[in-house]
Amino acid sequence: MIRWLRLILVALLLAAIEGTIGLIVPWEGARLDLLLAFLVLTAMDRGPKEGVWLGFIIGIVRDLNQPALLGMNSLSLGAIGYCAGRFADSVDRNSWKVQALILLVLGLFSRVFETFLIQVLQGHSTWDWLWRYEIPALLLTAVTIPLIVMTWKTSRGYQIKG
Amino acid sequence: MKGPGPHPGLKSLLACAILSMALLAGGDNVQSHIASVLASTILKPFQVALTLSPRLGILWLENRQLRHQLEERAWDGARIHYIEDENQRLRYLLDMTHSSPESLIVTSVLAREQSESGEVLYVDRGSTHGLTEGMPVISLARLVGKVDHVEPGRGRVLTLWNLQLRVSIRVGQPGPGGILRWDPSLGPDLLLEGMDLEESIALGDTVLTSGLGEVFPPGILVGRVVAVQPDSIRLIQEIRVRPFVNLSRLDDVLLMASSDSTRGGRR
Repeated sequence: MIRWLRLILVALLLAAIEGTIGLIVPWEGARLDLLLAFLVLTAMDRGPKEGVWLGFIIGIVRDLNQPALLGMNSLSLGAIGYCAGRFADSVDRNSWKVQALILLVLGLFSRVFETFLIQVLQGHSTWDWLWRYEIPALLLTAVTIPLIVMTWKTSRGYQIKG
Repeated sequence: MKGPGPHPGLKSLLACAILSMALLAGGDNVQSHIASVLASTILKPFQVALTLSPRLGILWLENRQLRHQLEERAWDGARIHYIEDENQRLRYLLDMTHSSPESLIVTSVLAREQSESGEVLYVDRGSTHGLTEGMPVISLARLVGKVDHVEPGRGRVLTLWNLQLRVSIRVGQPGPGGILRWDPSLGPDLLLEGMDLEESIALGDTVLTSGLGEVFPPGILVGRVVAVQPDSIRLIQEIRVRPFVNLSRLDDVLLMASSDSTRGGRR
């Protein structure tokens, strides 16, 4: 229970950072997707079951915080949490390159799925938004966050593979 | 925490998918109702933090500016207070010298010294300015002491906190009289001895010079009674008096002189 509370608190903190400091755009309008990175890395570490529910909770938070369809983010992020937890069993989960690749692939999947869902359910297209902002944000997140986490873990004495 | 089956987390994924699709399938009204319930209960503190966090920096800056302004105002206030004090002191000196110009010499305190017998002050007027030994010294109508030694350019004053000085006083006006002297064991207070037990002395009573002994003129404020100790064996009461003057805050003092002796003094 305490572990879950800790995870939720971290997620809320990251959402607050995304909504405030994260608005200072670092690259062509793209900003770091901290919640996605947190979800993928946590799910890879803790398995698919925790990944699903953490993704669901983060999705609900994002649904409420963004003008989106309620349930859209919770569905896609829940699926991402599951997939990240499952993939972690068959790859080297401590390699930052693997983490970056999984983050990129799953993030891309979720963005495409959400854009498709918006087009189907609401009838208007956001593909242009996807190419201009979401893909650069994913690239930025996939490259930087695993590197930062690896650096942090190395500084604390963890054994990390390149 | 992994599930026990071959596909751990699959049930959770299904439950999550059902819940999410139920939310998606709900109409706009259902969605907005659920969103408002969630937002107003579970996520309310979080949203407050979200709206507050961008303002924290601004509030911090404002707070810093206000603190700075407060310090400036406090400094201004202290300066005003000092100027008011100085103004009051100068007005008093001016009034005194105007009201009795022939009997007062204004001097500045040069130094304060702890001699064997107690505290003494040195003032910047001497015999060439009309000072003579035995002159009463006051500050703001409060007794400070008397001149005990005079040189051409400066004078020495025995203060109330000196064993050589004894002041004939009375408590209240009119009231019982006695001799006031300094007792080192009492610290800043003076001792009034020999008062009969029958005399009614109360805490807070004002002590003034009586005029007996012809050293100090009558009616100069000396201090206030701060303790009364009856001695049933000797049938007297010992009274502690706290003087009004504070030597550490003395800048200028007045010397009360006869008309003849003030010629040449600063007025």
